[in-house]
Amino acid sequence: MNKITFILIAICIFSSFYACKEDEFTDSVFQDAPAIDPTSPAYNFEMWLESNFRKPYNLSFQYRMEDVGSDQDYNLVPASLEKSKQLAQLIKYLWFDVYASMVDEEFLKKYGPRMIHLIGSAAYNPNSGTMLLGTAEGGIKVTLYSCNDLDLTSFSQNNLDLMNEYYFKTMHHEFTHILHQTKDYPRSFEKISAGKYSPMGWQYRTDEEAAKLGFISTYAGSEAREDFVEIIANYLVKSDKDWNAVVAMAGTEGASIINQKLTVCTDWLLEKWNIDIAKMRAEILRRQQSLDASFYNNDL
Amino acid sequence: MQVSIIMTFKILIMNRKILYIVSVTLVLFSGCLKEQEDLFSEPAAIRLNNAIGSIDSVLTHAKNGWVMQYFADSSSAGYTMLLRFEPNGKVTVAAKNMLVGGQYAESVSMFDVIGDNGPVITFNTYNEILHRFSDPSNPAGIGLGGDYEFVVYSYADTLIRSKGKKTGTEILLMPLNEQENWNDYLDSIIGMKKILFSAGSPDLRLVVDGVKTDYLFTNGSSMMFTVGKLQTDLTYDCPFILTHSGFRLYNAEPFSKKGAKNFVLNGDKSALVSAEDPTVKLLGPDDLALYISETSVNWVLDESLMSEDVKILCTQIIQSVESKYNGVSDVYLAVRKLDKEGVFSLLLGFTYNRKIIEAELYFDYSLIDKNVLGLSIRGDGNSAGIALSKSISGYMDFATLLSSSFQLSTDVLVCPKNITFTKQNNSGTWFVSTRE
Repeated sequence: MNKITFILIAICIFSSFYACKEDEFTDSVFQDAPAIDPTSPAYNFEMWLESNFRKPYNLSFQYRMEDVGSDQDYNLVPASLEKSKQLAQLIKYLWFDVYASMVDEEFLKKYGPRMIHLIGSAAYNPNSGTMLLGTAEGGIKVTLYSCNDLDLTSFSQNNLDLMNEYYFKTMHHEFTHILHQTKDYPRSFEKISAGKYSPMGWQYRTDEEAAKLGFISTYAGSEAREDFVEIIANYLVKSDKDWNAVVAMAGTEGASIINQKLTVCTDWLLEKWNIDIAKMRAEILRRQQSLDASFYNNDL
Repeated sequence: MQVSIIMTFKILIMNRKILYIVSVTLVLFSGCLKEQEDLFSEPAAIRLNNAIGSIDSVLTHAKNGWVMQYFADSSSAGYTMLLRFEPNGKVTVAAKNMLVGGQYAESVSMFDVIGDNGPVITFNTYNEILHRFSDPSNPAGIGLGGDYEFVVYSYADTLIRSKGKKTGTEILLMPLNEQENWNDYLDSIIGMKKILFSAGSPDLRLVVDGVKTDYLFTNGSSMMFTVGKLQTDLTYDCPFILTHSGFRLYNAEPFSKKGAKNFVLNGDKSALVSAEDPTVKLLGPDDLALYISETSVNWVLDESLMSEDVKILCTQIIQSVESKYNGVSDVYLAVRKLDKEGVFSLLLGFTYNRKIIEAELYFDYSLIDKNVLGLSIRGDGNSAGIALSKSISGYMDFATLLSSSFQLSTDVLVCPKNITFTKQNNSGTWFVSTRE
């Protein structure tokens, strides 16, 4: 080996050590909290997000809409600051705090999304007459739509049902996608309703038609993975009365299929994630029922 | 022989090599010969960051905010909004139009200037006023189809030009005078609408260099002219936005090749004159007599604006109606053209027992001269008119007074809202009527 070759190798080795030395990681993958003007209307909220989402969960909570980060196929508008504040508190109370108390505090730090993006309007698809309520992308980002429709002026059952449909169920629906994208669900699940899924025509089925086919919702009939997460999300947020109403509407055959799917989901959550769905559901329903106007911190 | 061929081939190859070396050297030298200067002094990313900072500064330095001339798309009416940007990211938006219930309304939200397709002003939390144009809820998925993010392509303290990010629609921002009250400013725009566009507003004729063109602007009350070309079936939709001094067309083409977009009501209110080229104008009716004979609307008499002799008769009629019909309301007198009958009428209207009564006495008419209308009583009318001419004191006398020739005049010639009728043979007899 001549001298030049030796010197070149030495330089390469030195450079690689030097690079490792300076590569220090901060607490979060996201940049440090931006310097926010204390007079900003969002100052308190930003501080709250910092201490409740970014620091503990390494999660960027995007309430100021980023058009380039949204689905360009839809016409969308941002969420209002007021609705964002309310929804952020609901997300923490009905999702993050539930997992922290029922599984363990590290669970969502490890498996939770890194980004939640709030959108004010629904993502309408005029051609099919459908609208998107949420998406989960690659286990990283959850987008919630229709945030401006959040109505906290009353806590009637009707309003709670609406909030379940638009937000709470959507949160669990999208998070379950993240879970099964991390640890796949049993292939046996796909065989239960094989041949009955209708990716392009699910929206034309009535609730009753879908239930009789063994789907807990019309959307569950679109494809197997949606069916899987719909079973879990609906079971988590629906009261006994509402869940049983769908099962009763399904008739004997449909009810049997729905219960069979629930069993698969229950086993999968327990075996793969050590989550007792019945206990978690009880906690979510308890929290839902305890919601009232005093829950919200209006000073955010 | 064979050796000779090989040698020749080698020489050829060598020559070719020399040729290649010389060519490459020449190319290299020619590349070095002229040093191209950079078009920009700084890299694109730095220039974008500088622009973002400058635009943010320009926006927040306008103390009384900005007038935004907003078009949801290039084929719909324009709306005026007022915006005040603050350094802490807060933006206040105000409007007074039908979309916000016709009342002055304000909404506070947040904004940012970001780098996207160039510097972009984004309104990234929902604003009740501004996002109405881009909210896709009605009709589902589309809404009014407007933008809430605007790519800035030129900016200064006096004007920011931008384009909607999705639609490409041109949106202008101009600073508002520091002394101007927001509500008063928006009222001035509504006032301009009342002056220029209401039921029965005349068509506007495009005049260039003093010559009438074939283009006629109609139906301005919806902020969307239908421009028709006379003698043809050609029509164009021409959206515009009202300003406090007139209106701005979204696009003047193809009506005028002179770039005329901003039209300002001139001092004597006889024309709307292009701010870009004063030789381009929009004019109202030439002849008021012809105009009211072609417009089937009520010209209601204003009791506070009439000569004494006319006022005596009007008062007599109203008192007579009030005494005959107990609890009567909304009594008025008007002149109007009846298309079906082809006559003018003297209309006596009122509401009695929740019924609207419209009594009419008919007049033949003639266009005696420019702005001169001749009326001649016929002695007939509708059944209510004939009955009331006998029972209401002064009604028939007023009809007789009206059977004459009148000189017509107005204070806003480009769009007459009030017309003064003055008797040709007695200038002391006159009344003002208002288009309703």
